[in-house]
Amino acid sequence: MTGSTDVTGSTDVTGSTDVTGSTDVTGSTDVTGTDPRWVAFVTGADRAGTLTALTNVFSTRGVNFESLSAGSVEGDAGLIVVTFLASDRRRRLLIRTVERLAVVRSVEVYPAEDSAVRAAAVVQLPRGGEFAPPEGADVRWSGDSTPGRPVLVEGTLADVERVVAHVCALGALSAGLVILPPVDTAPPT
Amino acid sequence: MDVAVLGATGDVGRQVCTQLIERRVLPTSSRLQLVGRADGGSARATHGLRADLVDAYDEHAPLIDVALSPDDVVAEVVVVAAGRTSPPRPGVTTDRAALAADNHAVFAAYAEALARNGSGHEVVVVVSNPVELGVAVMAAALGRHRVIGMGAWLDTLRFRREVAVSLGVRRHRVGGFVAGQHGDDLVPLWSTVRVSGLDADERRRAVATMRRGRTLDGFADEIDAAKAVLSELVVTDIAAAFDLIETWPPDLRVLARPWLTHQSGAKTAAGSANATVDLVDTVLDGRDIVVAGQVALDGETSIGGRPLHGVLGVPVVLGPEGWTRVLLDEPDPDEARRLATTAGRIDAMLAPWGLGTGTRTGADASAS
Repeated sequence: MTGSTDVTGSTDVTGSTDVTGSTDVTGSTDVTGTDPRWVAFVTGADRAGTLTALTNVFSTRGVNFESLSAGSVEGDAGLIVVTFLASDRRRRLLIRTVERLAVVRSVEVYPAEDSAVRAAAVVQLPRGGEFAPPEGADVRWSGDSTPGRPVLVEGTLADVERVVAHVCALGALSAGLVILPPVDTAPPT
Repeated sequence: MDVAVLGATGDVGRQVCTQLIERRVLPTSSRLQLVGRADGGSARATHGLRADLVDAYDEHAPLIDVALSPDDVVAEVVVVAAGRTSPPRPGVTTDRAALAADNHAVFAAYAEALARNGSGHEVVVVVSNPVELGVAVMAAALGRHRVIGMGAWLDTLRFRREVAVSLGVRRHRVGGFVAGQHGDDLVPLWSTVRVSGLDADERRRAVATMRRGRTLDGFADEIDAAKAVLSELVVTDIAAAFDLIETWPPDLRVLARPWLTHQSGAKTAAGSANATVDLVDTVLDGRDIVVAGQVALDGETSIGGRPLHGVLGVPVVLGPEGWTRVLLDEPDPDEARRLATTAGRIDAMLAPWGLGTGTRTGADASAS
């Protein structure tokens, strides 16, 4: 687990996140069709097998990740961020099981729409295109997109995902999103 | 899927953990949770057991986790092997009432924690005795269908083996179940015996030969007499005691052999663990399989037209969500009488904890 968070590149650093919202490439198990979406921040040991142990907990219970990213390592541990769909009951089982893994130091889990879950995206529009967030998306951004340069966008995960979907619909050349480590240490749900 | 073993460092708990790994019931991606108490001795032994299992089975061991509080139990299948056992010494009789008093608190503590923290889908296999009390406590807290006692399955495997020995075949060629209470009040259901390769007439003759004209109406007296003889022999000539058992009919051997084994000091940990791991394997396997187990009934089956309520060992269909149907056909009259008596005794044993049905007593049941 040595991956580093890359918020400046133009590729989708989260791997399996469906930034366009048009397809669900992960096929997450949503047994009721209305399962809520969760974001788990897992601090795990920086050693071989940590990701395998984590993913086994989910896969053996029929829950796929919507996205998974590994953050930078600090000391002997690093941050893994996963998003998944599950009922509240299954979310509790999954998280309690993850917490029992010897390679896991801590777990925080939030509803995906929680304002504590922040994300950043890098979007690149065609030359001459002027970046503007969709109406109602409360995000901050920097950069001038008109010369074809990338723009960095930051906000809640829900709002940033709306931005990414919006610019993709407008013909963005690239758009990548990453979930940021939590800065608010308030108790999660 | 993950398995938690409560009382992992006890004789049976340790065997269960070992067999779960040796029989490859748990893949390397699963987690085996060793659960002990937080006090010094148990905590130390639980951590030590973890190290020993990893040392022995590193190539195919699952993830092994240590938990020292009921609140930390997290698994899809929970094996209850915690609590006190009767001393394995000659002359020491098992006072199930005293055992119940000691172990009720253990059952209750884990049941409450599982109800409070669990997923609502754990399947609990009760091994500790009195298994009927463990089932009653767990079923009241977690739901009847998620809890099964191992005792009737162990008795069933022993019954099949003894029948197989008498017929000169291997155990897997013999079917049949033991019902009732684990221990002296077990009920060998001769009417359920099936032997691969024998037609109905051949089977009836074989069973009649093995039963030697006896019925279950005299079984309790036979057990008492057998224990009296063995109690003397166990201290003077243990080999002769085991040889004597070989001369008895299969149903009496089902009880006498493990009783003597326990009295010998060797205990019955391997056999108990084998039956337990069978049930765990069945739950994890995802298929519905007919086993025998102590379950909390609510009228799913009846004897002589009277629906059964309360905890009793019966043949059931066991699967990933626990037990579903009861597969008890109307037993023969002597089996029905003994089952009814046993049901009343279990009810009386559970009554002090408010877990009896209050609708059946020994006298009540005997009259049925």
